[in-house]
Amino acid sequence: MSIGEYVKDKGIPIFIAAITCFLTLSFMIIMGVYLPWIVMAEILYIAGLCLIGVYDCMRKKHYYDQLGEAREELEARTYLAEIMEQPNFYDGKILYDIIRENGKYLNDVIADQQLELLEYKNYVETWAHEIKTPIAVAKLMIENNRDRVTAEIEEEIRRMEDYVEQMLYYAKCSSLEEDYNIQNVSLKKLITGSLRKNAKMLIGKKVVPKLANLNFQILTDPKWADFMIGQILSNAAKYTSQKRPPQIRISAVEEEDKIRLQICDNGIGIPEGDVSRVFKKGFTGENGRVYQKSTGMGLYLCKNMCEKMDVDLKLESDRESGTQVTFYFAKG
Amino acid sequence: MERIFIVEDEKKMRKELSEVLVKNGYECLLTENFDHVAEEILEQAPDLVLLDLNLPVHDGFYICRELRQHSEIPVIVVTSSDSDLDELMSLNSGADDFITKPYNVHILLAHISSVLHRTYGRKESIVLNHNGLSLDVLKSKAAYQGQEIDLTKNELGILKALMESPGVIISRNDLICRLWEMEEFVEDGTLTVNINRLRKKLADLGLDEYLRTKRGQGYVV
Repeated sequence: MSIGEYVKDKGIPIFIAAITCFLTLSFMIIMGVYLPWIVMAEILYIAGLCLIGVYDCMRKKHYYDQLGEAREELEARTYLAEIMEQPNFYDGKILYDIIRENGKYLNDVIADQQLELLEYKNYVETWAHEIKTPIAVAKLMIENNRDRVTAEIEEEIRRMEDYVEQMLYYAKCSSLEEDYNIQNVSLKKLITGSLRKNAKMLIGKKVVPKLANLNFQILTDPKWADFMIGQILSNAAKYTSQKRPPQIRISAVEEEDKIRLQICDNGIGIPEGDVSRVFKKGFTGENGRVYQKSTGMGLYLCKNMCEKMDVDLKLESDRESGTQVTFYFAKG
Repeated sequence: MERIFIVEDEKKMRKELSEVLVKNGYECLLTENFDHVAEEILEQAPDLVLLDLNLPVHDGFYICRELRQHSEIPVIVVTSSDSDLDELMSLNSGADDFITKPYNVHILLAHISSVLHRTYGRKESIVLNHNGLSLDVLKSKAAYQGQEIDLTKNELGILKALMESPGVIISRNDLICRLWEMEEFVEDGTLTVNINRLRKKLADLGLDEYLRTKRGQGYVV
């Protein structure tokens, strides 16, 4: 609490005090009171008012400063109402009661929302696992009845799987608790695994992966990393350029305590104005509108997951050379 | 012929899965009664168990532990949950391997054969036969009327994929997929080169028209 502000706030009482002071002064002069007595009385009067002011100011300053400090230290600020002390001045007590009650109400609402969110998330995860059984059955049926039609259905099933996976990871990474598990992973295994998982899509688009040295160990959650790399590969396969044979170059370099993983495609690239916004949720940009339907979720999820795992993620792109995505993983 | 016991409560899944396995040369044992699965498995004594986790009556972990008390029979847990906890609990319950749905069929088959190899030792040979040509997968050799040729890894992969489903046209993309599963990430041109080499080798055996091209669709034996 600032004393200056307090004094400013008391402008009207001070004004009233000054007027009464002036009036009593005038009254005493008119009554012909002996001058030293007048001065004495005025001094006592002003001193009394000042003392009242100082006492009130100190009492409030002490209380509010303490409250402010408590608020700074509190991690979950919504609990302030729970820990605040009752003030010993009347108007403070009224405010205290109101804040207490309001805080309780807000915390109840928040708790309800969190519970609802958690239940929703659990349902989404269960659903995603339930849907996998019919998908698995459909895949087996396709395997048992290979022909042109089932080959096309297989492609659609693959897309369904991708959407389900994206949703599952969205639920996982927007959750309140941390859902990942950092391990020491072989980068080479990770990349070849992701390439194999996305083989159908890449081969369908005639994309050729070119791998440089990937013999590094990195620290990451293997499933999250696999998902993120899958998203990047899927983007590379989606936005291929007709001007050149599609290619994905994947390379890694050691940089101090990080492993820099670079995934470069030679696709159509992203227009300059869109590059800075690709990690925004739901952003589809020109490519999303013109070339292929896009959900605008893939890169957003990648960025979100990277932030949670403390991995730097960068994207550079231009229409001439294509898109380069760079991950900075901790060295394993 | 190896016998695989499938513990899966979803009827369609069971049927399709057993069809795939039978096609790939396994014998399948199924059950519809989940009250005494462990006893039934022990009675039938299969070579391998494919075990789902979410089952009526007892869950997969329980069945796995039951089995382990009496037998060392290999168990592969197949589940739709990809949580680390399930994987950990499966392995702790004594399962040999863990694979999540929906799986790639070839990957499942690879897991099955690798667990079988680990448990019963490497087989002497896995031989595919079609129209007089026999393909020894482990030795990477093809033989016709007493003559033998050596195949490279890619040639073997192509011929194996075609001979596994004789009479079925396999697209170029599917063949490239199969090659990706094995080793290098080859491109379209490489497949053409490998097909031509394979044709030449087969011609050396006197099989000129063995591997036929279906224009715009793929290849077939």
